[in-house]
Amino acid sequence: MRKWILPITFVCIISGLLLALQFKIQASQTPTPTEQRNEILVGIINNLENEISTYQQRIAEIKAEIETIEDVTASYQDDIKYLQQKVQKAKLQAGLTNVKGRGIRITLDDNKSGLLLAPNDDPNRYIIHYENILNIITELKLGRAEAISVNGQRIVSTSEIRCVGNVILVNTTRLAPPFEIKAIGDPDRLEEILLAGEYDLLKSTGFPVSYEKFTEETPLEIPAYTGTFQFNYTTLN
Amino acid sequence: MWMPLLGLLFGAILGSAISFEIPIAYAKYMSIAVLASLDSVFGGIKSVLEDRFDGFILLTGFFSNTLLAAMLAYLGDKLGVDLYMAAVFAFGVRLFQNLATIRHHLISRTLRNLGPDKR
Amino acid sequence: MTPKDSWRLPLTIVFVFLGILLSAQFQVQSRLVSDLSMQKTEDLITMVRNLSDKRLQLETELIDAQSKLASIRSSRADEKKIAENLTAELNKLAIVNGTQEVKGPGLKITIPANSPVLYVDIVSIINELWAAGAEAIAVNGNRINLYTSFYYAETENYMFITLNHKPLYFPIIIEAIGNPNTLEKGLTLPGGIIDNLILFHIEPQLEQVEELTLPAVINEPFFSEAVEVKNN
Repeated sequence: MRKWILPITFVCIISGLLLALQFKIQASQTPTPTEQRNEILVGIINNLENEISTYQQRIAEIKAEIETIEDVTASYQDDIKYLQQKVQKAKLQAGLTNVKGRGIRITLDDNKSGLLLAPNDDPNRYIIHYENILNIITELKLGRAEAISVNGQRIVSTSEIRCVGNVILVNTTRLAPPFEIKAIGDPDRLEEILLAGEYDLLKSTGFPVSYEKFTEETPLEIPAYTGTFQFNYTTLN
Repeated sequence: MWMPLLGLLFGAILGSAISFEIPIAYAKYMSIAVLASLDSVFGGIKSVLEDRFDGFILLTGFFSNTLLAAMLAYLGDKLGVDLYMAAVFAFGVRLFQNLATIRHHLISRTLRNLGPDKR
Repeated sequence: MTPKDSWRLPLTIVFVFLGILLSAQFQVQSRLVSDLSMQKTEDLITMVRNLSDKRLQLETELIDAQSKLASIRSSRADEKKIAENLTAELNKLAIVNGTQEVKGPGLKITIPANSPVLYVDIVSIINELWAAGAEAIAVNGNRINLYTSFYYAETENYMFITLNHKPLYFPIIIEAIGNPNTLEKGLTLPGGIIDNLILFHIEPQLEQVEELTLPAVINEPFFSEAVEVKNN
């Protein structure tokens, strides 16, 4: 029975060697060119798929952001339109636009001829003073004038009329006679008030004054205020 | 015969409910394991029909064949020998033989049940 | 030897496992078929080409989307700026038109009761205040704007000043927002309005105030004659 041990053992050793060798050969086998190429292609495909999904995600994010902004922008545009309308209305109220309409135009000038006739008299009695203009403007406002200008200077809420020496300033602009005061409003009502006030006074003391009414067919044009408004002390509440 | 079939259905449902995370590389070992288990099953059915059924042999044969087949195929790959092929051949042949025998037994049983007067 | 009848149980057990195995195999196989490593080289090459094209397309799309985002962001910033500018302008015009309540430091002028003051004096004081740099003025709590009119009215034994056709009662308080010093100096110039008023026995009291609150105008002006001329 023991005869079989030796040949068997011998065979086993050889088998073992062969097995080990074969294992090593197989393990060190490089893949075939086809397999290699395929492996590379699979790698490329996976990369591309990743990139594509990243791109798609980015695009979706950007599109979502664009949509949010577009919603906000739409409401901004509405706001802006609304604001523009309000600003335009406020400008009209403030005297910052050119206007036209029915009205009256008054011309006042110094009484030069009167002065010539009485050269020894106080010359102040023969020139137009700023108070004359101020009073006429007050009367025009009473007559519901909607826009007033003096020699092209639009009267706004902050307008002042004063004189420095013999020069009259309106909106800090020097004006010289003759003075042309324009007012847009109901011509008849304005005329009525005019003839009951300062104008009448000037006329009766010999000043060369005149006025003219303007109708719908030939409207009066009054220019916009060209100055600025400065508010350094005022704040809205 | 209904109970085993019910068992098959049960096993199939159970298997589809569980998701198996087997790497693709081992797919062919799975295939050979399935082939081996089919062979055991049909061998068992044949022995039932021949009245030579041994539950112990069936159970041990089923599990050991399945595992051995897979391991052999794996070993073959490592050695660079397509043992896989041999296993397919071997189990396939046995499968067909068992199927033939089963068919033979079923037909003769049916003929017997139809009565001797039919002969 | 096990009896014949006991074949059911072992067979069933085996069938159960077979069922599990078959399911598993089925799962693996279906994954296998679509697995990339099992495809033919030419199929893989086609896939690479398709994916490359798609990626190129997405790249362009991404660049377009990014530039659209950038431009929409900048125009939104512009619009925001425009809206802010408009709001600032609106606020400024509100002060000019007197349509909102305002506050600030300034001067308070009180004309005591029984002063022989005429409406033209009030107008003069206000005119001087504007000339001295006043930014907003109110008389007895009435905001002065472009359309405020002063006049007078008489009853049998009484003459009173009217503001927008409403009577103005004593004491007449004129409040002006601006630099309090400048305003006071502007009124108290030698030969200025205060000096003139004193000649007529009118003695207004001047007081510099740290914070005045002037209300808004009550009625907004209504334009029935004037029409805007749009030149551009």
